[in-house]
Amino acid sequence: MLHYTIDQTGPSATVYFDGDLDIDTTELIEIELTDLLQKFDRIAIEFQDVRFVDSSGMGLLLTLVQSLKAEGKGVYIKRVREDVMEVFELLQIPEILGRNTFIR
Amino acid sequence: MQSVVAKGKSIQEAVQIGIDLMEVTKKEVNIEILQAPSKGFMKIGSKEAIVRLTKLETAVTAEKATQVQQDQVQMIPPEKELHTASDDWFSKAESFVEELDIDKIEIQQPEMKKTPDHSSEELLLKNGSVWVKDGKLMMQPGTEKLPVVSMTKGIRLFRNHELVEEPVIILSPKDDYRLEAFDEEKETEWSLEVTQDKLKAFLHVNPGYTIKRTIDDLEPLPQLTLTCTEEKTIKQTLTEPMIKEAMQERSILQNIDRIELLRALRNEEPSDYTIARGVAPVEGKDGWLELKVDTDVKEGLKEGEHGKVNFRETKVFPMIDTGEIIALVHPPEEGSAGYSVYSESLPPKPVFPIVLRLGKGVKLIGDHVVAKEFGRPHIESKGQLIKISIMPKLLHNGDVNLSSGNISFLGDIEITGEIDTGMKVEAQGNLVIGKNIQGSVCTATGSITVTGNITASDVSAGKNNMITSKLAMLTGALKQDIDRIIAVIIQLINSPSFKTTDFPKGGLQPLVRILLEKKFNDFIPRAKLYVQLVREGRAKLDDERWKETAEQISNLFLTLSTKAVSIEVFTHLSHHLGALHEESEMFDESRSTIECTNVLNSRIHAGGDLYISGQSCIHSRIHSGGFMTINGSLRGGEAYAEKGMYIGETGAESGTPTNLAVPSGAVIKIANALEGTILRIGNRKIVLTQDYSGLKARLNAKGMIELR
Repeated sequence: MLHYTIDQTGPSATVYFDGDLDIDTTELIEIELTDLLQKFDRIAIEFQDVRFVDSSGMGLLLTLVQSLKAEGKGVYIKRVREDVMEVFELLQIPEILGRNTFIR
Repeated sequence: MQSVVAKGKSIQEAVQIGIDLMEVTKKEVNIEILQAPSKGFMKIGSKEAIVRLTKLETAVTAEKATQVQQDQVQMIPPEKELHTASDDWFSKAESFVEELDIDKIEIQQPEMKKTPDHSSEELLLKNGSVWVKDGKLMMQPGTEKLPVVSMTKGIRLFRNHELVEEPVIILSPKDDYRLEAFDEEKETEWSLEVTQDKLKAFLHVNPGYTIKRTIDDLEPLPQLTLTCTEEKTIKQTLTEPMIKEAMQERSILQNIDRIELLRALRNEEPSDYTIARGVAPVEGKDGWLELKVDTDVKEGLKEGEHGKVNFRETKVFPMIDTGEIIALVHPPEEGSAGYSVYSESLPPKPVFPIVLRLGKGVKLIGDHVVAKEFGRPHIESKGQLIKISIMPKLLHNGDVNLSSGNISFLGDIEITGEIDTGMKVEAQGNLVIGKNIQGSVCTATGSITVTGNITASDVSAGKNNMITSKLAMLTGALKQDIDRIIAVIIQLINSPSFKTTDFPKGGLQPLVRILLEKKFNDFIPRAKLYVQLVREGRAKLDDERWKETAEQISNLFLTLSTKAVSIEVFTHLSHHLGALHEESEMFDESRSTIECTNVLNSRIHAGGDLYISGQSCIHSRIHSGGFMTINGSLRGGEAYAEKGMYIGETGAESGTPTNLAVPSGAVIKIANALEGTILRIGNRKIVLTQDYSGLKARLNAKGMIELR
């Protein structure tokens, strides 16, 4: 199960993910998080505590980031673990979202 | 007589002879020993002692005293000696005597030169000498030179107990020399080798030996090359148990040739012996297809004596009836195994049955391929894959015009009349046209035969017209992409951070969707084109697999299906695409020939040979994947032939450019080439500056165009 906490400072927010980004997070991301993040202009997603991903989870992440970016918000994904980044690279996710989305 | 030179077997004898000759006593003469017999000095010519006797007189004695004094002065610093470089007593004594009896020397010298012995002796005196006796090196320095000795293999020279390494040594009287011959011993060398195919074991033997050397005695010479006598004894130390042990080690236990083995032990020369042999496997035979009917188009066209062809003898297409046996399928024949020198079994190469792909109109009954329909048998093969089908034939009596409409047929077409302006004829097989083609487009995958002329038309025969050839290119690319997608999926599954939890529910689609977004972003357009082409060409595709794969591609990649898909579906699709790709590559374009009478303002493309039998081909672009023959004249336009061309006449008096081109290895032959014709061979180009008859153009060894 994925848990998250939001740390907000004015128009900026940092979302801390903790758990696996998988098919079970569909509801959490598609409904809850998408709505919650609407009010921020700059959003950083901390990936430090995400250890496993599956294809559905990555699909959700892509949709989330792309829809937020479409509204002109700055979205960044931070501190992705090496193993997880390997999976992202295989699927060329950094190319899809833009290399500068990822911050070490 | 003041002085005399005498010879004798010993010095005493020589002196006695001299005294007798001079009629004096021993006390009255000064005795000078020119050559001593005891040291082998006299071995050149006579072996006698030579002495010079000089009479002692009072006047002379006084003179002699001063001479002796002088001599003594010379003796003190020997290096500064005026007369000679030599400092031994012998030459000094000589020079002393010579100076003593100046007038007598003149008498003596002719006497000394009388015999060759004396002159060679003198040479030795001058140049020094070196000789070998009883294995010992002896030397005598010359007045002008020191003796030189050249070494030889097997002998060592020690100078003052130190080994001298130089091959040529100048001997000095101050040093002590010693010779030593050394013996040589070599062990028997041998090795056991097995050929790469493991069918033969070789024993390589180089027998050992011992060489005993003795130094030869040699005559004195100023320059001497030492020699020694060698006595070689073969020492074969290889024994049968040794070989057997080596063979056991290599596990060569059977099929041993004992006679050869014994020969190896006995022979004294280095040689190879085959001591064990295996047996090569007998290769089997792949399955094959025995054709019972004639499937090749009979080439009626034969070039006559002058390169002319009778066009009336045209092609004959074989036709077969329903129920006729087309071919027999023969199963593969297994070969038999052989064995190696290690007694291991050597299996024959595996044999494969033919893979039969039955197309339209054929059926396999038992091992017989039988025609279900009337038509032309069509067989394509690549390796063990053979595709057989019956090409149906459409006969159109009359012209192709607005009332008949365009004709497109999956099989051969024969049209007895003309093809009118704006019409289109398409054959997935051979096309025969009875009259002329005008302002129209005619295509065939097989050959095109036009009895009449081609005017302002596009005519093409070959692979390019096949819908399958367009699809084949796509299948190749799609298969590659799918294989890569499969590879990435497998890699992902093996990643430690990747969870496959959603596979049972959503299948691979979410993953594939991400992959298609960027990594394989050109896959979707390609897949769409493939599906579209298959849909359009549905009627012309005789293989159901085209439609099946198109449907699968559409379901997997182009629509949002929710059905979970496993990786096996992808591998299955890849397999089908690969097979289709391979089969459509089988097409043999050399059969896609075009024949017609005359050509005007047209474009012609033949995958195989092109033959224009009439008087002319004017302002046209013609291409042949094979050999091009134009009996008449080629005026204006462009002609390209992959395997060379023969043209009756080229160029135009009006100066319209006429371009001929062939690849670098091909030859252009023109019976009558007019000035201005442009020839291109490979990437070389030449414009004819004069008329030629019987021209033959090709590239020479330097890569330049050569005209003959």
